[in-house]
Amino acid sequence: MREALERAVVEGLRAMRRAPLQQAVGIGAVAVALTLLGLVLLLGENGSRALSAWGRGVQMTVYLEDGVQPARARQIADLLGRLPGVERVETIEPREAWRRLRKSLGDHADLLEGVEETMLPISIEVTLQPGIAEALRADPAFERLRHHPGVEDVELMRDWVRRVALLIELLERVGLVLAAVVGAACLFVVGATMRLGVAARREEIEVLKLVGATDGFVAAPFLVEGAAQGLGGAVVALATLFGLHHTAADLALRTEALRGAPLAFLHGWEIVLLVVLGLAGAAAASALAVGRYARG
Amino acid sequence: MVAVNTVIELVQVWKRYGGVVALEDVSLEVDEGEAVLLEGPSGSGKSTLLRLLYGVERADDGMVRICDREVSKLQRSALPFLRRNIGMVFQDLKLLADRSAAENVAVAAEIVGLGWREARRRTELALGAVGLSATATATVPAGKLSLGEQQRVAIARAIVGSPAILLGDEPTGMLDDEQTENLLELFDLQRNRGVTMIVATHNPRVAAFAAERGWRRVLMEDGAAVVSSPPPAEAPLVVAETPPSVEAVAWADVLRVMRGRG
Repeated sequence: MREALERAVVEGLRAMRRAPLQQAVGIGAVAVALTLLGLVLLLGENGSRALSAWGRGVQMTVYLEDGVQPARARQIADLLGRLPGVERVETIEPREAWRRLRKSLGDHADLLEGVEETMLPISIEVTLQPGIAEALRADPAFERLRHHPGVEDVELMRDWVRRVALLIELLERVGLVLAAVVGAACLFVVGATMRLGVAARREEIEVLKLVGATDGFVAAPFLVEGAAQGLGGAVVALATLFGLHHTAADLALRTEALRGAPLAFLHGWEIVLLVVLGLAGAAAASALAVGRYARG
Repeated sequence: MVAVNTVIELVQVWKRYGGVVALEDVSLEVDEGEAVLLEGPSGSGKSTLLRLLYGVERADDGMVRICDREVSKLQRSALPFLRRNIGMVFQDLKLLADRSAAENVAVAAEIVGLGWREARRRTELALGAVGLSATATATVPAGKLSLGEQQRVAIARAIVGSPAILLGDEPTGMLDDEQTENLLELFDLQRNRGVTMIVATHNPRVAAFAAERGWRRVLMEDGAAVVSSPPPAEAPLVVAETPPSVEAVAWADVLRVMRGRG
């Protein structure tokens, strides 16, 4: 068994040395395929992150009815603080609300002349945890709060949050479909490349079969060769993706709108996935192609 | 009297390619350690018979048995194990053109299950036996060797695994006289070691050698084994000065007369 494995590895490597151009084509096909797949993953991940980041610090305001006592307001604020997805709760006393209003009016602050500082109702500002999902999670609770005694109104950012959430969902689904399409196309391209490589050596397969080689004996070096090409392709693809990511991240740092959302590289499991896909995919494509000629 | 095993057996075998009959009702038995020379002109069915024995093709009718196993009924997955016991020299050689002579021979040794070291040792011996050197040809792809050298590589590959049966389809077709003589000696040596052999040829020199060494000679004509010379113990063959092909034609004439066709 050990000798058979050694033979397969040595023969596979010798075959690679004998036909370097064919190896380059194989590695290139796998690299292009995995790079495309990696790009889809990167775009999906970073697009989703960017949209989620826009939901960071979403604020909602709960306006209390006139005459609600500060103790009751604190009670409501305490309740709000315990809701899922809520990061921070701040009770805005009438005087503070008046001050903020005046500040927001700017040059037109004189409009507030004659208005008592205590006239505005107490309100509660709720800052949600980062991410659209959190905002959405908190949404129904805020809806119920509208009917709570002492609550005048709740200013929800529902439409905005939902639109962004829909966009994220759409992006994720498109990414998934795109990944599946690109993945299938990649499999086809890698399969076709491997078939061409094996077809060029069909005489070798025929001769080996004629002198008594089993299918396993014939296929083993091709498997090794395919796996090596897959591994090589995965390394090239990861290096390309890393380079592209590095360039894009640099660009993002210099772009004002993107400064707050640094670009992420692939997750560890995605890197492993690409390597395994390259290795196993190319080896399987190679074995399938050999099987066709070995059986023929 | 020592019981002799029948190693190769063909019973009323037919093989057709479309409308062309390649083998017609051929029956043949070859005992263990026996050497048989298949003679006949091109297209007489010699190669087809060998290909049936090697499991490259299947008979349309009749039975082809090797060591009590019916070749026609062997599953595809069992064929490699049959072939490991048979050394075959193909007419078109079937070498790996981009590999060296040693690599071509060594792969056959590895296929029969020899380890690398032993395969390498046997490869050198086999190449030496056909007058080639593993080191001298190490850097030359087999496809770049002369046709005579390529044929010798094919013969070395056939014998490297010490097969129980050796089949040769015009195994000396590309060799000069001296090389032919040497290779025939090598074949005869195999026979003396108990290897069962069938060699197909239309080379008079090979036929003469076979006759001299007491190989059984089977004449094929139009897909039929028309006559089989008796074993040497019963009717020793005389090495004819005349080319054996002429002799073969004479045998065919005798048979036609016996069948009342003449």
